[in-house]
Amino acid sequence: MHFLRCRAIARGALMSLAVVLLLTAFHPQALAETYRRGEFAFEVAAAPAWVRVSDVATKWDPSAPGAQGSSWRNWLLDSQFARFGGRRWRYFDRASEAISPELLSEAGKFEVEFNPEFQRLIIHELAVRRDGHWLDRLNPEHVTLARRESEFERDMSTGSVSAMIVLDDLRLGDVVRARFSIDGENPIMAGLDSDGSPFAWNSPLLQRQMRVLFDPAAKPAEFRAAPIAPASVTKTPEYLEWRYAAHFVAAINDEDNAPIWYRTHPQVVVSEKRSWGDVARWARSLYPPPAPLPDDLLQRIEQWRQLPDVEKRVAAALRTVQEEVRYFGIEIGDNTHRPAEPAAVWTQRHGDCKDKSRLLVAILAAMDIEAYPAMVNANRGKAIAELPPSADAFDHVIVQVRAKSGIWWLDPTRTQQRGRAAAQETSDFGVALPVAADTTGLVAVARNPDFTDRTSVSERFEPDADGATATLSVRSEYVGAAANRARYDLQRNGNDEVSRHYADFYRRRYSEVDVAAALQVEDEAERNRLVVTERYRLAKPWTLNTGSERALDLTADTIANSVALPATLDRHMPLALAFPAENTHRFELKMPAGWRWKGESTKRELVDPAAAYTYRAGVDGDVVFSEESYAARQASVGADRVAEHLRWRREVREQTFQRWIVALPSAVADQARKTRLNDLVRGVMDGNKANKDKKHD
Amino acid sequence: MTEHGCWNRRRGLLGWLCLACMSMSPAFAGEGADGPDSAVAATASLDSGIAQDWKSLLERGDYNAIYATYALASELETEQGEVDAEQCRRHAADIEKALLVNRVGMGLWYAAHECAVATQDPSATARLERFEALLRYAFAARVRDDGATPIRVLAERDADAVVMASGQELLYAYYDRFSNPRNFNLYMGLWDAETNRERILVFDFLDSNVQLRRDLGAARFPNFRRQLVKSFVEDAAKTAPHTPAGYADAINQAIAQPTIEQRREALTQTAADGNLEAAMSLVGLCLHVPEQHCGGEAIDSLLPYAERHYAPALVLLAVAYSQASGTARDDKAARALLDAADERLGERRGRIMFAALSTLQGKTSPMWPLVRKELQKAADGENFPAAILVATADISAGKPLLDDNLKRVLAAAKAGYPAAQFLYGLAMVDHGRAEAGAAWLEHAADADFTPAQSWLGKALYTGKGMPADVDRALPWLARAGHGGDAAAMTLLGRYHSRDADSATSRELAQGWLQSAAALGNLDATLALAELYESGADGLDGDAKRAASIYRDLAEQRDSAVARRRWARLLRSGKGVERDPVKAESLLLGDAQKNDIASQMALASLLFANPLRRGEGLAWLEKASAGGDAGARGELAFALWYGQSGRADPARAIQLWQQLARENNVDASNNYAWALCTGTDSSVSDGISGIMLLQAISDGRSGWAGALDTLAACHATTGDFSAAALAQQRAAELFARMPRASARFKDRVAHRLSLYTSGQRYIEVIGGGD
Repeated sequence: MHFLRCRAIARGALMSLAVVLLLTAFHPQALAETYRRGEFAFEVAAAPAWVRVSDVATKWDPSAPGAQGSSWRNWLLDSQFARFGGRRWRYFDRASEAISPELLSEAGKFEVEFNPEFQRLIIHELAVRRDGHWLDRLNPEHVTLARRESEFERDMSTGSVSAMIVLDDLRLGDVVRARFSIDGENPIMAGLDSDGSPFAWNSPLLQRQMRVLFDPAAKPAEFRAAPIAPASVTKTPEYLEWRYAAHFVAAINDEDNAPIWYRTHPQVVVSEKRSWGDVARWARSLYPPPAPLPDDLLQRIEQWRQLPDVEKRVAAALRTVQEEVRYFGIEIGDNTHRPAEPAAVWTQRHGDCKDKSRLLVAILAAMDIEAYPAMVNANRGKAIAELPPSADAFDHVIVQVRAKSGIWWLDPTRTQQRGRAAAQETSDFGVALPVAADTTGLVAVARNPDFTDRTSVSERFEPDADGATATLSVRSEYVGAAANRARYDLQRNGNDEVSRHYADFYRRRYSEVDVAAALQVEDEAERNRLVVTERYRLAKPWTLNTGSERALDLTADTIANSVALPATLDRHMPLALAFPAENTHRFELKMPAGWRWKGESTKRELVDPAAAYTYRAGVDGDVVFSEESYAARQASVGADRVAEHLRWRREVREQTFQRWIVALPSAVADQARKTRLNDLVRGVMDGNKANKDKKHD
Repeated sequence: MTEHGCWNRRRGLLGWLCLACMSMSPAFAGEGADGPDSAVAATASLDSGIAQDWKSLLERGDYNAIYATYALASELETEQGEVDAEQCRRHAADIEKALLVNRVGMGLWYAAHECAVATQDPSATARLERFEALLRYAFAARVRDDGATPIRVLAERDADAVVMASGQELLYAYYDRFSNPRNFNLYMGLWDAETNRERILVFDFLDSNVQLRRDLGAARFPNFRRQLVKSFVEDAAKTAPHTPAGYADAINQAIAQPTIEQRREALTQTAADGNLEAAMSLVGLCLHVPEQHCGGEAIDSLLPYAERHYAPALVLLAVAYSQASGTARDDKAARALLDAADERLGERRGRIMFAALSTLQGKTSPMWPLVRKELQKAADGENFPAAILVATADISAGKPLLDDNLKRVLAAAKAGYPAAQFLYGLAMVDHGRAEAGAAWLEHAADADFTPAQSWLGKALYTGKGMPADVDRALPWLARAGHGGDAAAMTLLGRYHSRDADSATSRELAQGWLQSAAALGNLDATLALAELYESGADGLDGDAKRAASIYRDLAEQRDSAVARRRWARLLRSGKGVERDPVKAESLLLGDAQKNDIASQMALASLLFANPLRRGEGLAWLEKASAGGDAGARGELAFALWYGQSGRADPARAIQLWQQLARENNVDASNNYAWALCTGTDSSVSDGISGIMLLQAISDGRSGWAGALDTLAACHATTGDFSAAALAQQRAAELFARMPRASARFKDRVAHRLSLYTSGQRYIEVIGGGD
């Protein structure tokens, strides 16, 4: 599976549950004390004056969710954001309790991420309430700071630092409270950022507050999910306060496979009022006209110019940027949002999404093809359209090509893509903000017009003369996105590894399997079509081998995978489907002379508004066959229809598992039975004799 | 191996205990007296506290509360069947409460013990001790019939706990759907690696379940058991198809297939899916329907189990060899397989199983000689099941139970084997020692041995074999009915049908007849339809339903009785649209096949049509020609009253006189009526009428029809006070008969007024009763 690897920019607007401890900064207090850990530092100080420290309830109200049956309880969650007087300052207060001993270690462990290049971490309090008394547990000597390396796995260097705190002596019944601030915001954002918080958790929440302080004259804009009460607004000479509050909030049960645009947790996001055009203007300032391109690149461009049409030129340029310029992002300071010069990217042969996109745009411009970088959100898709316009709404950059025949969307961070430009694969970004002079708002990102994702698998079984063993030939044809995935797999793992993996797949199904011929790959780049053929010898292909009958169990895994059941079945959230997707799976069994299939020719069509499935089985000459096809019709199923859709999936899945039973000619059956009976009786007689001898001894 | 979620849990905790309990050799209770009292000695050592807990639970336990304890036990496990310590902690108080509600559920106590161990609760030892005690009791309380009677449990989980505690490997498990309708026997084959023996344990939760539902009226009838089992296996098929219960439903579905070919196919599939009982059922089907030529397929289904040396499969394969079903006959191979089965099961149980199957084949089973010698030897060595089988085989061959056989059966009877008690009891009755015999039969019946219950019930009901005592007969018949005896159910249904005025009786009649009808008993189904015809309140059917039943029986089971009754309803328009033409065609078919009752019914129908009375008389003549008394009586009646259009009193009298000489009571009554109510003085003869009635009365003072005639005869002789007295009594009896029409009752009253005023009753032919 391909990763979207360009995580950029924003931290505040879409604060995830994993980084809830990211806090805004405050002005240093008189009693602030700084602790250094090598090149990094944090401070310990009281909360700033504008913070209103909340009280933690003394007991969990019995009528509140979580009074019973929960493994974790959040007594207080308080986020306060200062956006007045030039501040960008985030204060966070969380008091929580592990109910299960299994979660105690988690309750005593904190990790706070900040970027020392432009942020300070200030710890206000770390305390434990035991038997009704708060105990100060903050020992600055036990706080460690370390460069955050996890993004290296995703080929990114972000400059972030993690503060790690581990509490000792934590017991069941303890309530742990942590209050932190993070002061500062990336200056590249030019104040076009936002703040926000979720208002429900995966565990019950007794008390929730989000307080945002704007400049007194500010005109705030908000996104507020339906269940959250409107803010209470107050004004002081110093700031304008918007305060959101909630009590007794039930836990949200995460449901897997929700569409990326679906908000699983209700959320508030606020910022000062502005337009997407304002954000686009800010972005354009980061993408000035490029410096002259290097000579070797210009030579390549000249070659591509000779290609017969724009589509081929775009495809050639795209493939070059995708595969000759390695993906690696150094996202520190300005680099989080400002792309490098295309000439430098080409020369050093690496870059992140914005670098590669800007390079591709520059190359296309050199071929007189109109194209623009376009900012998208790979994790939230079209959901960002609901948010107040802000620069931190995006986490990825792709390229918009304005060809005469239409708009194409290209992702230069991908690899192993083949075929024509109009057939290129992009994710479900939903909306984008092109970095173009004419951009006034978000534009829809449609899939490229010729995009396909098609898989056709055929498995053919040919029993040997004795009817005991069989040869299995498998032909898998991948087209479009499916070919991209298969190609990526083969390139990344190598044919031998993939061959072993495939053989093991059949071994799980038929136990004794030998590879009869090496894996064959036929890659047709022009049509983006890849064909893999396999051949195996099956020593025990039959599920049932009774002498008179053989049974062959078959699973159309290509289809079954498409209709796999999600982990959460009692759903309240929509369900995402891979779309578009077309899969077919055919089985064939070549029948030796005298064999008789005991099944019946069948046709079946199972239709759901979101997808269609057809099945047919029968006999063609001396071959028994079945053919199944699946086609997605929608990218998601609404929550109101999920139960019905899952019933459809179950029905399809049931059909994808088949058992073919074939009757052997009576002479073969009789002989097989006779042999087994003779073996059995002989064994029994030997055993009887041995028992008799033992008794005599 | 059959999969079952619970069986994946850890095993072995109490292996020693179960091994001790699983000795299947019954204790021999001693010799000497041939009375049954010593047979109870075997249960003397039972834990009286647990026995009392069981009694109390079955008599007073709350069904929902008890089964909620099993739901709780399920919650204490993970999906993988491991004990979930967190759940145990959370439900600690619930577990304590459950153990008070359910004192005898081994599955619950085992789960509670596992929980206590997982949470280091100090109650672990006490719970283990209770579980051990329950386990000991379960085995000690078994009927000593070598596993024929199951171990009573409350739920499948209890059996599972026994298996887990045994530490033995579960080889196979299946529900026996065929042999014992009183129970739903779960057979579990275990491998005892220490002794190299295959142990077969049998459990039943159905009987306990039924007893706990004592508040439900339906639970009084055997059909309730069938419905419970059906619902249980259907649920299992939906949620856990690869469990014994799920497979039982698959077998049900297979057997419900319309053709034998389809049944065979479905059983083959279920057997291939991992169910031994399906393979065994297929063997049975192919043996009993040899023209199916499916013996080879049956062997194919059985072979995977036989190749694992499971004893039942080895025995059935020996059957196939001995019967040349699917393979050539090979007695040597059959013996080798039986030797192997004997070795696995011990104490000749392989051959005993084989011989038991041979008894199902009837008197001349060719299988029996193959095992006779070894079983005779085993019987000589005090192997009681072998002794019972040897005796049964001899009785089947027409030999009375004598000498050594008798002695061995007596020993087995004393050891507590209900089958032996039954055989010995019958032998005593045959030898004229009815009282001693009855005592043994009652012991066997008490142990729920259905043939003994049937015998006792029917003997006490009919007075054949024992003095009639209906009050004592009914409970035995009921227990036999719950044991699957459809004839006993029908008898009970008919008994209660007699008092159809009582709602309670109607309900009982319906319940018993429905239960028998559900087993396909034709008599019961006809009786049930007849009950429905009454249209009385509280019944599940009316005349319309009755007609539908008759039609189904007529069409699907080719029942002439059903056709006649259907025709009767069609003729009268009761419950169906009136259709005399259809009625005639139904009767005509059977009449042409010389069905006398149908000929008579057809004649009656034709008499109603003035233009076809001659045809009616011809059918009646045809029916009488064979000498059937009923037909001749009907003919005499028709001739007397001129139903054919022309009366022939002389021939009528001649026929009646012949029938009276044959002691035919109806004919005598009719003849007497003719003698005492006629206008022709040459025929009128009150004295002869009275004498005829005296000859047939046989002490039956309660026969209203005869009393009505007697009154007429007394009036003919001029004894009007005797006539009035008899008529008064007849009127009282008729008044209690719901089926007697109001018009008829008016006429009875009219005759009474004539006699009290000193006048005879003269019947005018053409307007008679």
